[in-house]
Amino acid sequence: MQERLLTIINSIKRNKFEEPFSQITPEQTLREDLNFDSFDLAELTVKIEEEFGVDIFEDGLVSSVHEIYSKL
Amino acid sequence: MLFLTDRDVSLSYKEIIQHTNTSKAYVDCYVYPDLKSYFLNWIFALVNQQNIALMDSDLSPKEILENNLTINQVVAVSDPKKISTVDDLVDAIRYSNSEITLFTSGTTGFTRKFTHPLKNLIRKINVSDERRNDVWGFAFNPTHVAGVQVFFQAILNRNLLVNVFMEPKEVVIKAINDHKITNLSSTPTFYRLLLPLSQSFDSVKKITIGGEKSDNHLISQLENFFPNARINNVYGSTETGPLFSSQNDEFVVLEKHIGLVKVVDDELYIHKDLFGETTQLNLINDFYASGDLVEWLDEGKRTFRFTSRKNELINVGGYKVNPYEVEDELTQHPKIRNVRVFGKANAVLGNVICCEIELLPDSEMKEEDVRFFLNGKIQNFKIPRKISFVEKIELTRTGKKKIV
Repeated sequence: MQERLLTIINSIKRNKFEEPFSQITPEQTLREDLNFDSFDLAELTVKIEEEFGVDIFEDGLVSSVHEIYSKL
Repeated sequence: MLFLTDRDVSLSYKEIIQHTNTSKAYVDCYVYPDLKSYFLNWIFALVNQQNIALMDSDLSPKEILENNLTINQVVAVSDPKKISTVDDLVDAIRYSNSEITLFTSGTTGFTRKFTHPLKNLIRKINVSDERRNDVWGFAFNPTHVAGVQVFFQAILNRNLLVNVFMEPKEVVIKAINDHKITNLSSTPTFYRLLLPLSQSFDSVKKITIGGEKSDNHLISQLENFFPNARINNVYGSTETGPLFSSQNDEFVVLEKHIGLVKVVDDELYIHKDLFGETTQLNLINDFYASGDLVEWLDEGKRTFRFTSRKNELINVGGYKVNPYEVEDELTQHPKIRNVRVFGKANAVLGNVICCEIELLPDSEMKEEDVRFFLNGKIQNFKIPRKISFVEKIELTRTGKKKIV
């Protein structure tokens, strides 16, 4: 699961011409550490939904990698 | 003299006259099995001044119920008119008092019906000796307003119709070559699916584009492959019939239409005088709000361009995105054949912009290539965040792209 999430996050990084991560850690925040704006977060939800069938923002905001893990 | 070819079926003017002279009844809401029987049934009704509803062959039972329609009901005609020559046939159609009921294609999610007197539907039809030898590629649904226009244009000039509607590219190309088609009229989507071409076609002298928003990129590509064609971009609808035409994507309000066309909050409003008597539309001070959004190019010269449909703007985090603008950019990519941009509900932004891309044969593209291509061309919020590559963009029965 962590691998698949990393692949998704890196696809978003590449789409905005930023360096991909070699790894992600649970305590990283989406906005500050991953540098995701609201459009990137929307892209993240679409891609996670496609891959895992779960809408992570369905019942409230998610702000860290750890919170994504717990939704999946 | 042939009127229609449809793959291996054909119909001559002589057969039409024979059918008209020997029939005693027609079907007023006809779910037709094939194009030949559809035209024979319709022409019999027209010649005998009968009203008729033109039904799409795949109207759903629900739509039939909601519109109080009775399907395949036979109407007997007492003392039907006899025709002896093609001239008689053409005159009987041209001066018929029939009323024709058409149905909107349902891209908006529901079907509505509109009834037009025949004279409204043919008021833009040109009949002349010059047009006598025209050969039409028939590339519209025959029951929709644009297909109806092509039918009248062809039959009133005694032309041949070659059916290419929803046919694959190879069949269309073969039809143009075999029948030396001179006139093509279809949606931008039809032409996009035809491109690129490995040959140019000298026989085609007129190309009409309508039914969806077109763009200058498409028009200039068509100019390359159809060097002898005059290209005409037309605007009209089931509700109003044909209204404007132009050689590119710039339209002009004619002097005689001043006061009959206006723009309110970017939306095109059309006065009822421009589309004849109808009680079927909701009018605002005698104007019909078309739902089509336009921008003035030069208000003094009364030139304008269509930008979008009112209900098709996608709200992304408070920004309005015009899907056509994004499509226009993407279709300029050399590897992309066709593209559809749409919104999908999203918890973060309200909607997220999605696109489906149909690539040209033997082309490859990745998501990040698309993003790279769009970067700097359109604002960031307009860039699709969900990009999928598909075998084929799904089309509606009108031959337009489906709107989600």
